[in-house]
Amino acid sequence: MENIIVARNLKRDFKSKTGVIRRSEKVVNAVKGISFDVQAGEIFGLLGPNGAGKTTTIKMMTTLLLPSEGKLQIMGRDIETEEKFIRENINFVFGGERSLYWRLSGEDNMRFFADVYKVPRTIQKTKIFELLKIVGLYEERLQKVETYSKGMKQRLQIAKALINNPKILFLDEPTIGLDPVGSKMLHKLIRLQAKNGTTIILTTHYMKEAEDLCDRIAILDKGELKALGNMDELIQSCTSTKIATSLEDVYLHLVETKEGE
Amino acid sequence: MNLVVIVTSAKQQFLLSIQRNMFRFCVFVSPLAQGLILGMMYMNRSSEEFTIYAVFGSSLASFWGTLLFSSVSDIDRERYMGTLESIFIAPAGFINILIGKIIGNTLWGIITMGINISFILLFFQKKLYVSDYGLVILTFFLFMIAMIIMALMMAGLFTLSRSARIAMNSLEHPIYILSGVMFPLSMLPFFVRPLSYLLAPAWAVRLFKLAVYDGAINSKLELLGGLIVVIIGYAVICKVLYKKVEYRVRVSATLGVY
Repeated sequence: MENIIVARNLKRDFKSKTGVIRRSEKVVNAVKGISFDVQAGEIFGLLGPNGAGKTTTIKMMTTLLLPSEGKLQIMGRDIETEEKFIRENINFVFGGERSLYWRLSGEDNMRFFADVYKVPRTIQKTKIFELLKIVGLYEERLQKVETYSKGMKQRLQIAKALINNPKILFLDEPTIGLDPVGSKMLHKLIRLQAKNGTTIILTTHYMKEAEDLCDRIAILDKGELKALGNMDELIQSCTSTKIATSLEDVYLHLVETKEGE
Repeated sequence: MNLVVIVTSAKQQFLLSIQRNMFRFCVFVSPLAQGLILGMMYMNRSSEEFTIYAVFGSSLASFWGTLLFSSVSDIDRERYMGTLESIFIAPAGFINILIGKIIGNTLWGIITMGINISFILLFFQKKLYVSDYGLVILTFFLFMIAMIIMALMMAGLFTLSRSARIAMNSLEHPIYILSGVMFPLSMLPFFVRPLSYLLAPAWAVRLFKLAVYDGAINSKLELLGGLIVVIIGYAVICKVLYKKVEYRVRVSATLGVY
């Protein structure tokens, strides 16, 4: 299978200034030289504790941020210079209830994003209704988003992210705060998208979710890549020092070992 | 230019803005207060001065206030709502979406001006004293184009900065003063007057004076030329700025709250 994402020695620093009179600059190394490939059509998981660099990595892949160093190619295109091509072929969901216009209805949100994602007007209505039915919001489509529950807002975000039939879908903690029914529905949707050929990059804190959904998983901690592989490979990678039977064992082994040192 | 997106974005903005209490205050209440203050200041002056400052001056200030306030705070609002990232990388182009939003706000700005002018004329029982209505209409039209581009520049700059609200509030009144929309520029210290040549509202006020006093055609053409040069200047700066902004934003990571 071809590599749809290629990251080599990817680094990202954030600079912030503090103080009014004595200004000082603080540099945070959010991502410290990670390399990985993602194959077309796979569900690729990015796991790690808070501050591990998952969201920063996703934001670089979605062209929202530029790397400080290293190479990053999406569909063979450079993210620094060929961002326009990339943007037409991707979409994303950043977890939580944001990224929507709360004072517009669900349908109006979808119409707006359909236009800005250049979905032809001739197919917009059908496409929007189809997606709203898939995420179970068709009946509530004319209500303002501010009246939606958290789960409904997250489902609308998913529908919004599918409006342009993305070849790569980035999901940053999409199930955060969702109830079991909502999570199950989302998992079903993720599997369906992957089956249809969409490459999915997923970050999550839920080990079971990653274990059930992901073909391969990368574990990040403090901006570094600690492990990468499918479930068997990850379990194998730490059996020399500890008995691991689940992703949670592997994760805790990799993250806790470093913190305990 | 993507016209479909500009129209969609303008329509969305037009509907969204007015749902906010603060914006409703800016559109419906603020112009009354502005008109009242300037009307009181100029009610005992000549009809010409009343027309220039109380009517046109306050309507320009109301328009500018509505457009600047909403266009800049929209960026801030989108940042906090998490939608700034979505529209920044949307394939239709960030600038097209912003142009639409600013046009949406401009439509409300025109309504604000209408309310302002009607209120002043009714409340103070005065009539417009204009010799050249054609010039007034042309000046309003050019002024709006200038303001749309200026709001676009501001919105671009504030995409880079998280201090949009502070900057916006700091800018509003100095620009009123430097533009001479509320009182003649001759009242300002000599050394700050050249700054007014950079501001479209200042050119608009000069043109309104000619429209009221029926100035010579050469003077009118000269000032119209001046305003057009300012507009072209704004457009060039805007184009260069957006190329830089779109790159710098990805370096400085200012699209999100976190």
